Amino acid sequence: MSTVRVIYHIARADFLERVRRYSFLIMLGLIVFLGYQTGIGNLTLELGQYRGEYNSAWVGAMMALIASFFLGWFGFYLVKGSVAHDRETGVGQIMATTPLTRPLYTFGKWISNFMVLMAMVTVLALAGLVIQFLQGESTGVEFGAFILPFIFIAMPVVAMVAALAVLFETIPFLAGGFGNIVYFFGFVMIFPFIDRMIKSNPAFEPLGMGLLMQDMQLAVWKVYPDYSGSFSLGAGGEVFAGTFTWAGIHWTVDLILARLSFFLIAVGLTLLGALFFDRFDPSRRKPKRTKSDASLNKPEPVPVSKPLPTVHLTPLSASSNTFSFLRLLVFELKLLLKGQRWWWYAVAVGLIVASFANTVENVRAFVLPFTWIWPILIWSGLGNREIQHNAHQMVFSSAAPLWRQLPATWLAGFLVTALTGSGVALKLIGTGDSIGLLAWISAAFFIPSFALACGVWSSSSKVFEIIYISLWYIGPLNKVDVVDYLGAHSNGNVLFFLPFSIALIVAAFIGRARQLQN
Amino acid sequence: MQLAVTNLGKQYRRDFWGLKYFSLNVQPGILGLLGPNGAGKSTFMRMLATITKPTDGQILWNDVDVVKSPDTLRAVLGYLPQDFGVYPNLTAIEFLEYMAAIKGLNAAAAHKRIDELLQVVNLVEAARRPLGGYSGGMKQRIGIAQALLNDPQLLIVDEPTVGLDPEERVRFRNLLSDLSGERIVILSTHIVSDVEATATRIALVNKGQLLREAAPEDLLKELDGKVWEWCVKSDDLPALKQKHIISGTIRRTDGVQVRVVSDSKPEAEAESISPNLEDAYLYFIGGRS
Repeated sequence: MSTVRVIYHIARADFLERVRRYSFLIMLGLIVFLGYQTGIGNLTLELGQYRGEYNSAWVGAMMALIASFFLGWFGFYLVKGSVAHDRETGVGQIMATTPLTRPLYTFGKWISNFMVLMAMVTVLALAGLVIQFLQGESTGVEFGAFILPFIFIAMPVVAMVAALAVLFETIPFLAGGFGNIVYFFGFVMIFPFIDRMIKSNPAFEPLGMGLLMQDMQLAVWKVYPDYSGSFSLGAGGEVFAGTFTWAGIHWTVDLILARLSFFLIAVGLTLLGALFFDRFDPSRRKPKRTKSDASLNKPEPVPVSKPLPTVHLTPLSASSNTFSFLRLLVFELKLLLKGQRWWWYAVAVGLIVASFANTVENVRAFVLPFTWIWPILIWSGLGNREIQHNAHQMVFSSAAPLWRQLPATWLAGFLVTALTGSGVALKLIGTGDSIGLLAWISAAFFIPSFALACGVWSSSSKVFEIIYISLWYIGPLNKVDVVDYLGAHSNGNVLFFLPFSIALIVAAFIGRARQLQN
Repeated sequence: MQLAVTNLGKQYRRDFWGLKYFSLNVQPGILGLLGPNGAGKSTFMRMLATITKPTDGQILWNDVDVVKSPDTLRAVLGYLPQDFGVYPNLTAIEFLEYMAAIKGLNAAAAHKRIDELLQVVNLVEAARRPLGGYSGGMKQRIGIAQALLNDPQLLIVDEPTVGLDPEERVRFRNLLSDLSGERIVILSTHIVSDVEATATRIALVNKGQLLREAAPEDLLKELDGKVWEWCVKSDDLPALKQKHIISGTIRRTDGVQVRVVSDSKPEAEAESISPNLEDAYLYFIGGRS
């Protein structure tokens, strides 16, 4: 079989497997929502007080930029998991017994990731056409001006994202929740770099914003010399002072080559992934160190056969069945914390100590946000651990799982939150900061409730990880008061987050009841 | 103690029923569910184990409707799913302690029971190792142990001997026989010898329907005079396979000795022999090898 045919079939099978999942429909739904928000003007491209006339070039560029930005940031989470799926289903081990090489496998996965993301770009492109038609400012569709931004702006970005998803999946420590967090902060940290690239070499700026910005700015200055030069993809709602006509970028060979060079980088990243890829060999995964490892150094003679003991089970008396919520809670806590390495606890304790060594303002603004991002991978297992580990049939067929196990899970999550945040709480009590303390209580309720609801309804840890970290970044870190659930710079919007937490707990119970009656 | 299933049905798609018109009364003892892959055994067991909700019909546990109040059954249920996982960071003891807490066992009873169960499933030496490092057979034995934690009145085991070595398989079959006195055990498998060794009743299932439910000896009685054996030339075997249900072949110097299930004497030289459960299975399921 030719190489191209092998890659085609890996990509095709993987693509079909993913688009036939219910979660793909949800993803498409979110993209349609994004398109709708753009259509009604809640999300728009603004150049100060001005915007472009809704012609094909402007709509195409705006939608391509939206695709580039949102799929660049969140598309990674939508496509990551394909290699893990092969590992979980056992298909990977079957493929490993074929002559399939590592580069071919990672290349096939890259193509599949790329196609999934391109399906979303296509939805946004179609939404763009509808938007142009509904706005009615320019009814003629100029196909080239409309489609080229998607090809040269959005496509290179999704190619890179697709490759990064493969690379992260092949590197063991980036394959799980930690990798999700690394990508999030990695994306945030490239913004200063993007700023510099826009000024120095816009064609090579990864998101493609630089090219559009320079070209559009020139078009505005021609008509409005007072234009300040600002450029943003914003929340809309502005009353524009005027519009301008923008005919689109003149795509020279240099520009095209510059943009297509991102495909080469993507291929490079994919091939780099092949170097790390373990080819589904469990022995290549670094085992966790355990005390029993020491015994491996002392091989003992293995008896050829030994008689097995005959053991009869003692019948349990009726008094043996006395359910203890406290006992279950202890085991739920153990389940949450088991497997964490010593350094995780060291940092958690360090953050508690830091609460006492800082002023209350600094504790609220800096120590608390970092204290309550640290256990994110513990919280993200709430509500989905049973299904993730395929233990749900045993847990769900036990006595009263809805009223015993689920509350114990939530409470264990709450206790982890409260314990890790205990230093901050003591500081707030000690300094009499009642507003801060109220926000702390509200957040301590909100975080495990949100994690539990996300976990139960999505049966995955990823949804909580992505939404929580975004919320954390926007609210407590970037001082957007309405979502500052920690009260880092505000009163914590307690009146919203406390009732919302209760609603989330109710949602988690409804979700679990639904799972039990499936 | 009684489990009554009436007209049970599960519809997966508009045009596909995994199980339909399934009625059965189960008394204490071991009920072996036999059927080919995809027959509906696991669907039936998941419905009994309160994991899957039936589309039609009723399941009564001691006259209590299990669909309406599943917790009544869950309190006395032990369930080993066909496909399950474990928490890889926990040791065997920790996992069983967790499951015991979920099932509502008090600490003292749980400790004693876990000690005994680890011996029964022969995992004492590995009991303090994380489950993530267990082999498939060891995980299967942990699954068996968790199903027995609460000394269940209804024990449902779906393909329990998959992944077990022959010695462990025999031990498990003996354990099931030991346990079966005052409880209902439902054992699903397509390994006829597992059922032959343990079951007090046998239910034959195919294409989502119950074909027959009887004691093993009654099933065998029905096969009396229907199992034949004789020797054929190797070249004649393919044609014979087209005509008859062949339940066994042994190669000999003068050809192939065939074992055939047939209502009438298939060949003049064929001799009637005693039937076994494999013959019965093939006869009722209608298999042709």
